[in-house]
Amino acid sequence: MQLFFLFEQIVNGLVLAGYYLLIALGLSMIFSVGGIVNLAHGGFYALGAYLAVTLTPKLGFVPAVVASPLLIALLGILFERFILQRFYREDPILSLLVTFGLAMVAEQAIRMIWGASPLSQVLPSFLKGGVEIGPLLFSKYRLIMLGVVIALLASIWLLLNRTSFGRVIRAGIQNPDMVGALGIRLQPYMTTVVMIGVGLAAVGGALFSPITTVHPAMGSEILTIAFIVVIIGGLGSFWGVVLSAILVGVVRSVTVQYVPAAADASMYILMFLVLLLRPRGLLGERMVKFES
Amino acid sequence: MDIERKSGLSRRQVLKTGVGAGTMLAAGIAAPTILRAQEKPIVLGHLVPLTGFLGTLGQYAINGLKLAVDQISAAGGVNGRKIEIIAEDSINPETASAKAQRMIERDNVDVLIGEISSASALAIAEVATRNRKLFIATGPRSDVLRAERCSRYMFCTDIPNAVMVNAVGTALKQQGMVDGKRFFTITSDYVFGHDLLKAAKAFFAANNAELIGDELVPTEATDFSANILKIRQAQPDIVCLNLGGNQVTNFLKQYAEFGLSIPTVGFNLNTADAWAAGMGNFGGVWPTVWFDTIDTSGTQQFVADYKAAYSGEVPENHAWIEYIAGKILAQAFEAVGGTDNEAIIDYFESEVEFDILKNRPAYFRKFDHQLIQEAYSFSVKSEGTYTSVYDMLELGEVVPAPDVALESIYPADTGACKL
Amino acid sequence: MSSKTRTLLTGAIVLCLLPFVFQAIGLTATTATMVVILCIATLGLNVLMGYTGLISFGHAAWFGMGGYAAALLQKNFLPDQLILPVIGSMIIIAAMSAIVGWFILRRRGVYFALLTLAFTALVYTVSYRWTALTGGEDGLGGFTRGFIGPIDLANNFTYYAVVAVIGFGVLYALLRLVHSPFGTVLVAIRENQLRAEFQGYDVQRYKLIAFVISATVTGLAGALSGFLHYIVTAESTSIEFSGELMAMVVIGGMHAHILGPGVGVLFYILFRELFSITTSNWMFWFGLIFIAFVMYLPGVSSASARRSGAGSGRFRRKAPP
Repeated sequence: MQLFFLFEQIVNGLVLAGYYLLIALGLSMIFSVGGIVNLAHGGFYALGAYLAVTLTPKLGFVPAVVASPLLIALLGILFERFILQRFYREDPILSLLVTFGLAMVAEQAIRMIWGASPLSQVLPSFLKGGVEIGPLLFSKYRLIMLGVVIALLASIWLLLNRTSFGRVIRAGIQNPDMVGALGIRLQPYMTTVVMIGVGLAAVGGALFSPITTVHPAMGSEILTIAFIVVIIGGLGSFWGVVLSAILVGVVRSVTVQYVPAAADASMYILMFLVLLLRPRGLLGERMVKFES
Repeated sequence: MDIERKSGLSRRQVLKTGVGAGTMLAAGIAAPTILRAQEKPIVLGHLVPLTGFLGTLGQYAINGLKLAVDQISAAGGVNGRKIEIIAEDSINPETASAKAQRMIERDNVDVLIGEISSASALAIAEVATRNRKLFIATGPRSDVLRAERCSRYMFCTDIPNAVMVNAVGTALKQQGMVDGKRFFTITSDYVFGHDLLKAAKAFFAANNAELIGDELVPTEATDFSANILKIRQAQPDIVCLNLGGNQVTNFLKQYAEFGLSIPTVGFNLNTADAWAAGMGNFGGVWPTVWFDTIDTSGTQQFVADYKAAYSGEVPENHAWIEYIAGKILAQAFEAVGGTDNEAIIDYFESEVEFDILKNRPAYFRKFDHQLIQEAYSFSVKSEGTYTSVYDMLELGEVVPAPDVALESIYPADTGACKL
Repeated sequence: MSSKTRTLLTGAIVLCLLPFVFQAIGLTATTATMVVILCIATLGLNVLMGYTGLISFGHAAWFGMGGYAAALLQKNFLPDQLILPVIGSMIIIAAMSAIVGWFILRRRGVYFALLTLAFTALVYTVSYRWTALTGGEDGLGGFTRGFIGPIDLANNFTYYAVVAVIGFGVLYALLRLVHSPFGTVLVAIRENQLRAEFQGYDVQRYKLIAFVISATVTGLAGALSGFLHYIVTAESTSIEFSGELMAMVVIGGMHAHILGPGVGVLFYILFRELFSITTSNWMFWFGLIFIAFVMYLPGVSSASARRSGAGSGRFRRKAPP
């Protein structure tokens, strides 16, 4: 029986990986490609959730969850054009500070637009409830979320590895000067990356809106854990984040089974250990920018 | 308002008036200044968190106090003096402390009021005590404010943890959901959760209930899937939640997501968090200090006034608590004929009663400065019988029952509070 | 007058005027004390960020632990004392930072910053939860400011004077430090670690000493802050507070001047105080001003110009004054 419980939590951890990936993927993209430590990531996540909640009565739940990230991605254009653009070649500390300010603006803007009290959002009944597969219980909604995450991962992987767009981006990560010397303007590529990045944050917010509290400070709830997932995975690595999300999910789930109170501490300790043993994270690549 | 006065003027008040009259006679020139000073507005220094996690509740709080003050001022004020509020975001305990100091030193506030966070309340209480300034702690529920860290200058208006457990426990007993049942508790791993758990364990032990699982969850936890699976493994009769703030909402939403059928109850849920959980997402019995359907003319009048003042918004328990705190202060100003804090404290300590829009009046208990009042439980109506979150909840029985002394549901004097 | 004397004189004048200027604009001696305390904390942080070129997200941990240590020492062993608990707390922080530093200084750049971030998160989790030691959510209270000889520190102006004297002492000590050969080596490490290694310096040891000094000074500030508010809370070990400390240092211009962090602190605290007095939406306006500051202030971008190697003469300063 004990062994079964362990197995059950490991499986849950794999599903949970989808949850963590949704939080971390957008952050990781902007971090790896632009070298931007985006502390406003939580703000876009929260905005995604709020937009989804606002649109649900008008469009229905599923269309709202699709529409909200698209709108946030448009907001990402402004974010990139007016703020981030100046910081690609700068010390990461500056982008970190500027997004620190932006996170404050986002949180308070939500409070000014939607009010301070939390909003309610409910899963439509066809998505609610558990599915029993053998002796295991799954949440129907989380399995669907996992499917969405895998689809998103596949599209991003294809975009980065099978298109000319992706080749420019990957070259840009390693050597922006060379790309520039070839006469390619990185600018439009970066705009697209930022759009995808903040759009992904909003996908997370919209998808989580029925299973978490939608309140103005919700962005800061997920920010630390998102960073931990990205850091464990390693900067600049696509599969690193995936691997890290799985690891964090499983470790957390198993910790809850045996020492529930240490569930969050387990992630910090995991990160500490990984960084001491593998300084650049699990699959991180060496990037000069991050080491001086 | 049916306000029953237990005592008349306190001795200190009589002395004060005597001295005041003497001073006026002696210093004739100063007299006009003193008279003019009488017309100065009374200033309340208000601190609640308006940003961060507790910001969701802070806005209700300030709205409630503003409504009370507007009504008092519209009715001619207190002894002809209007009441003003200086309101700020308390941000964090250190800032709250510095701001309280500034309000006392620079803004000459007559009374400090507010707070939801226990840590900030303790920091403000420290400043208040040092400056001999009255502080009405409206929102915090931590037990230490009523025990080791109590102060002559601090009065608490919200109900402490033990009362919340008693309120829900009484309702559960009536429904036969305690005796011989197997409970599984999920508790936020910090002081508030631990206090609730302690009270809950005492209640289970006293009522022949079995505790088969007792899990702590970190306060930053946003995902409960692994905990929900453990509940399913343990198969208790009832899941009992001792979670703080919006963790309750998160848990309930995810519990509904997994579709487990084991009933839940809980010892803490702010009405705002219940509304945020959404329709059809939870059931069970929960405690509250006040609810907008309480059947008294006072409460109904307050709800109507509040909705009129804030474009139809339904008041939450934090709005009510600051509203009545404002009214209690006004009554005290009137009774002692001014804002002399020592006189007000003596007045409160005389255990004089206040109308707080419930069936029975309330009073501050002398030995720990806790506002002794009725508590309630509420439950969730069955699905399909309501159309919005605002009429989703059903008020339960009042605790204690009308013929039982109010203090019976409050913790007895342990001697921990030395005023 | 040498630049060193000028710096000290400026510091002394500002420290003398601060409480009176604050009174004049409607603030209090308590806020003035808080400003001086944060100046001490950021001076400490800047030893690492500005002079050694190591970005630390972890200084809230030292600040908070310094507060806890001093308060616990006074409560349990040294009733009604201020100086001894503060010194004791500095010793504890120095020892702890030596151990932690030895581990995390093996990483560089962003990775070092991220390790300090993880460390702060861990310290916050522990202090929020270890109720028996730290009071947990309620915070640690129940201590006094104590006495220095016959002087009772409960008066806010007296306490300001004590903190100001300590602050001046820290400024003097750090000024000596950065102008010493030791300080020159730190700047050399910041400018080019490899070259410093080739020159035969034990870079690792220098970095560790800088780390310990930096943490200890920040811990000292934390101890003073606890006595100022009569409470130490887990919030003071949070990542948010770390971020605020960093923001103050960067606004002050990092390498620009040893007093730079002081300017950052004044900006940060004054704007936040004045905005939050006037509007409940202070966070929105403060955030906007903050963004504008980072984007357009020349002092700020000079810090990055040096790091990215873009700036030549104008940004490349010799040793900061």
